[in-house]
Amino acid sequence: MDNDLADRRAQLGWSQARLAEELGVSRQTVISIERGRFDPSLPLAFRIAATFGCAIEELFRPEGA
Amino acid sequence: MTTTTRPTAPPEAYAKAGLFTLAVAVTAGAVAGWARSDEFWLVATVFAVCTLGPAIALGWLIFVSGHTVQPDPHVEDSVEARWVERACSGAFVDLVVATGLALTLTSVLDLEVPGGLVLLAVLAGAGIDAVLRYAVISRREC
Repeated sequence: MDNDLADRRAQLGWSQARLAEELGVSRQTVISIERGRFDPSLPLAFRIAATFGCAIEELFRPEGA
Repeated sequence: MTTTTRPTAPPEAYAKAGLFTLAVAVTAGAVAGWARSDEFWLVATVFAVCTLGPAIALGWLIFVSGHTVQPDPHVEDSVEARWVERACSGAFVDLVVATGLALTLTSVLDLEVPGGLVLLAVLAGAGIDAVLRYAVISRREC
């Protein structure tokens, strides 16, 4: 899935480590999600959406959509 | 400056772990000595000493770790958990294929292989395979 997690994180001025801490996952997990190499589980996707105050479908899109 | 204190287990937990360790080591030594007809005390001592390390780890896992280790509630959400899952799945398939091939080979060539050696090879092979697969997956997807 494509996502704009890196842009939203940058807007908040957060590092990948800070976002990882907020989400309760490893920094490598955030890196992999931002690069589109790891599709988060549904609970994690909900936590990410809640962290950025948006809906899941605003964050994640099917590849090439 | 903030300081963090490492959680400790109550003294009873350490006592139980110690007793458990001794019981496992002594039992393993006694059974090994009993199973061999000669040199009971030598065999029992060697096996008890060799079992001590794993028994300490097992005792700590059962009686102490519940007090000192706080489980990560989101461990399944991490990419590392997914990598471990894939590495273990791949290693399991490799193990089944390798065991099948080895069995075919020993049957065709009428080879007799010691059971202990086979079990050691299976255990070591599966562990090394899983570690290598994890290393490859994590490097490729980093």
